[in-house]
Amino acid sequence: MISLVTLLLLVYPAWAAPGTANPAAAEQEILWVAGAPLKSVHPVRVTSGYLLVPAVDTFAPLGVEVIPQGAGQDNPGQTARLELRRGEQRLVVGAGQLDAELNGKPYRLHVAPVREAGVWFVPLAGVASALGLQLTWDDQAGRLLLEAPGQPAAVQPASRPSPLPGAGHGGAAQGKRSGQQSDQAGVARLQVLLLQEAGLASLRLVAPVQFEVRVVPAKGAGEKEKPATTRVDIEIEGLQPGTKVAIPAILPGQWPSPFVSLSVQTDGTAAGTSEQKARLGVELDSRFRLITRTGVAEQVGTAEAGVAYRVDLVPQPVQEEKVSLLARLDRLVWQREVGGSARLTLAGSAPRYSFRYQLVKNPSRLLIDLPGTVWTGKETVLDLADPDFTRLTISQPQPDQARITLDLRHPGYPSVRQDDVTGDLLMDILRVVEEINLRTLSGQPVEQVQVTIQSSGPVEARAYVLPTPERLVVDLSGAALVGAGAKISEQANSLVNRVRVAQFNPRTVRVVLELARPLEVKVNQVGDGSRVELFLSPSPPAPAPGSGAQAGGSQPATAATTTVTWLQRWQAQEVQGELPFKAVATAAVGDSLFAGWSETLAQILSAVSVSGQGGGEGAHPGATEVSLSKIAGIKALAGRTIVIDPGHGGDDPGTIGVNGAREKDLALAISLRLAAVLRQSGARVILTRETDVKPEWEERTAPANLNQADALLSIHLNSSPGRVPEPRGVEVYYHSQRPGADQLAQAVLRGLTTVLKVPARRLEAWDDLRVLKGSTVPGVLVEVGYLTNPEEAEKLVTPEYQELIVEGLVTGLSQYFASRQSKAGQ
Amino acid sequence: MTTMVPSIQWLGRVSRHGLVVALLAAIAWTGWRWEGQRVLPLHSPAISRPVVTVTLYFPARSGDLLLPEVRQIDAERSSPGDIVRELLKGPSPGLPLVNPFPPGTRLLDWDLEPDGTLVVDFSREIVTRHWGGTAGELATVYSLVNTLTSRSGVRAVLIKVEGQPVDTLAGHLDLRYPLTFAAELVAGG
Repeated sequence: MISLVTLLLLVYPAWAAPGTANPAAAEQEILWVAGAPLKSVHPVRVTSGYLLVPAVDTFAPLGVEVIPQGAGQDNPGQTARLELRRGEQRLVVGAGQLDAELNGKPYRLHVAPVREAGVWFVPLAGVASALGLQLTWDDQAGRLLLEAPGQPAAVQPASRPSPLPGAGHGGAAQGKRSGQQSDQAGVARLQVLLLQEAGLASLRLVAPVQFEVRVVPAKGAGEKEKPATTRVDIEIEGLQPGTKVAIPAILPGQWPSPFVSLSVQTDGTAAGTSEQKARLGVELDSRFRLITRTGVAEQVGTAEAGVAYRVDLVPQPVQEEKVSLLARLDRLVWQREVGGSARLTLAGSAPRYSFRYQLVKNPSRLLIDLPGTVWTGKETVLDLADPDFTRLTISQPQPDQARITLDLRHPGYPSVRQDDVTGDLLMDILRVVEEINLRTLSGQPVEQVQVTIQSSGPVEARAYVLPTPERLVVDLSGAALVGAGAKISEQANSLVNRVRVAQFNPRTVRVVLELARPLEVKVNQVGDGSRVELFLSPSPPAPAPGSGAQAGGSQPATAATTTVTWLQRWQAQEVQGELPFKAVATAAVGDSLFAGWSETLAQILSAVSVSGQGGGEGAHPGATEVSLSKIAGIKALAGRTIVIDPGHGGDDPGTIGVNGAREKDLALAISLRLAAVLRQSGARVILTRETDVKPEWEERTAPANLNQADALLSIHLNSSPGRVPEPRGVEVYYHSQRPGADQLAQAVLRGLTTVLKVPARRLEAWDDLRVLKGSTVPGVLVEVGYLTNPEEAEKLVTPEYQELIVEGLVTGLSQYFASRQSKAGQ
Repeated sequence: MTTMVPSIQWLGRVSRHGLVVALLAAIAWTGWRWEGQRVLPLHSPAISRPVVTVTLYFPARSGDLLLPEVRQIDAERSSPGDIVRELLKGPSPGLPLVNPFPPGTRLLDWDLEPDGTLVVDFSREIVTRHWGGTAGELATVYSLVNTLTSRSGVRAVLIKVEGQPVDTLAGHLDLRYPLTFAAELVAGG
């Protein structure tokens, strides 16, 4: 199973160099410093796969003193040096030099700083870790976040615990670290987390390090057994002083550093038994070799949490062979998943192919270039029976670059991403929602409004109604808003109060019509599906028995509700069964490797959908107390009755985390903290349990019903095993028939995602949830995080993170009650 | 009123400058995989007996939705019970789907009532070995419900365990009453 892999093909395209027209704007969006995009006129640059950033602009906002030491005066003849100071950390780097000094001791950088026209560019990861700054990859937003952890370092003891999320809860290896090493280990750990964040399927460590792997057994610690999936937790220790760890996950180009890739899998056949055989695969860059010859890690002990393995690595002399191995591409398979993306499987000598893509116009074509790849067949053209694409052409425009050209059936914005596991390319064409037009239809017996939503191509439309206030929602999937968004033209009418449009998620545009009263809605989507027409008219009143419609018109139409009827509906071609969109181009087969990874439009788009949320500013992971004063609307909590229902309990542990944490315990801990804070704010709080017991269902709902509570919060932790990448983030469910519950759910979700900086995974009315069904008050079931996500599970057990959850919940509750107050006051 | 989506504009710029790669391009990946090449979901042409095509809903490997897998099964063994047993086998290898059923779960009995309610009775593993979580519970229950209710003649599904009615599988979803197709969970639904 183990193969030594040579990585090669250092492709550093010319555009990475400064000088091309304003590359900075785009490139710097990716780096956020202290909560804002990096502001600098100097473009970030990429050298040897590392990010070099303008020193002053990047680090000064975080309180780092950046002091150039000129070449000419104090040290004539010497190279120019730059000192960076943060608290007690003092880093001195030299232009063009890998060797630096950290607090007087040697410190080696992976790439040399550059000084150009008086501007210093320094390696981001190396400098950030030396100065104790926190560098994290926000997968959801597609951003690299550089922040000062918690408090400024100046007021912290030098040997403070690592600020990284999850560090300090590592298990057995923790105690063996010295204070000074813990930061280093934390840095290494960060890298692992980042790679997981980036959705890569395997873990990588920078060597030379010794590391231990703790395999959490597939069987949970509690009463419930886990499915046969395995989590891997990495503990790194014994880092040599001065060992530096960089962050490769987000850096473009070839990763030049030696690393190991490590994978663990339990033997599936042993599922359910405690004798889970773990196989440990270690893959090495050719510059390193394993000390153990078996290729299987040595078991060094068992702990409560799992079995520990150790793999020792030593550097091997590098043979710098200038052999350029090109990956061969032998076969393409085109498939369209039902309701999903187009999937292009690339088969050949590489498990994954790196790619880049661009759109050309007239005619619209999507060009996907595969650098370092040779198509082994002839130039081939395939006609595709696909809703988005008409034709695929594979060619070899350059000796070392293959090109796939896809002709678009309709104009649109392409998104190409790579399947984390298979390496397949997944393609979507997003239509642009161009215009929304509301006009009243004249000459009708009753007022009628026609709403037209025009897109640049066919979109999948869904229309449905949300109550209180009555809203008609039209979701257009496979669509995007661009530029200033869709143009809305609105004619005054008495049926629709307001029209809103927003990018709901990376693939979906949501149009919301706030209705003045219950309406009868007829929806029409015909032709090529690019135009959705809605005909709105007042709902006919409840039919009066034995009388005509006219006679019933004067009665109060109490039973009237908004109804949605489809007249005609465009649908994408069905692809079930025969896979008609499958097309195969074949050449030959081979066995060498090329590696690559690419980002997606979807991730960039999602950055838009999560930005712009107010409230909860300034929350740091290091904060241990919920500061009430800074929460907007906190005063609205006074006098409210709030019921908190900690999920599960007693003989029902709920889900068991990959770290062994039990849902029932965490739900109770969070609930108790929440109760304390709410009481402090003047709310009346009732808990359905305060100890480890399992209340009857009625006991969970009766306190809210009997006390006519203003809100019910059922606190849970989530589980979704086997997903790639592991889901993380918050879900909030509510009951569609409880007035106010949807606003409560939205407020809670916004509060949590803003404070925790995690993705909002789901906001959904789900009336069959038992606790919501049984209560008559506005209630929400909140899943505050995933215990199946190793990183999130580690955070969830910490008091600090639980405080942040409480802060998010209180923020949401405050905003919900404040908005109700202001409505009531109007 | 309208919402800006600046990053698409920005992407346009990026494409022109070829910078998308600077942001997004590859890092090394050593490419070691457990099972070698992926198996594509081809139907076996070798089945000589009459077959029927059934649609099985499984959770997508990424995201929260259920995706259909179309499978051909022996026409003589295509009762609702056979479909449940087909579901319990999990998705076909190579598809981006996950198995939502706890290991060891067996179908004990089933009965289609005249009103179109299908009662399915599972072994206790479906509860005792369930991993929990609202997301996890929804995935398990609605893989089953959506698959079965997309068959003609089945309107709703009632889940029992070891012959007894159950409150929930994992402490969230009310299973005391029959459940119907949930379009919210289906991609494109």
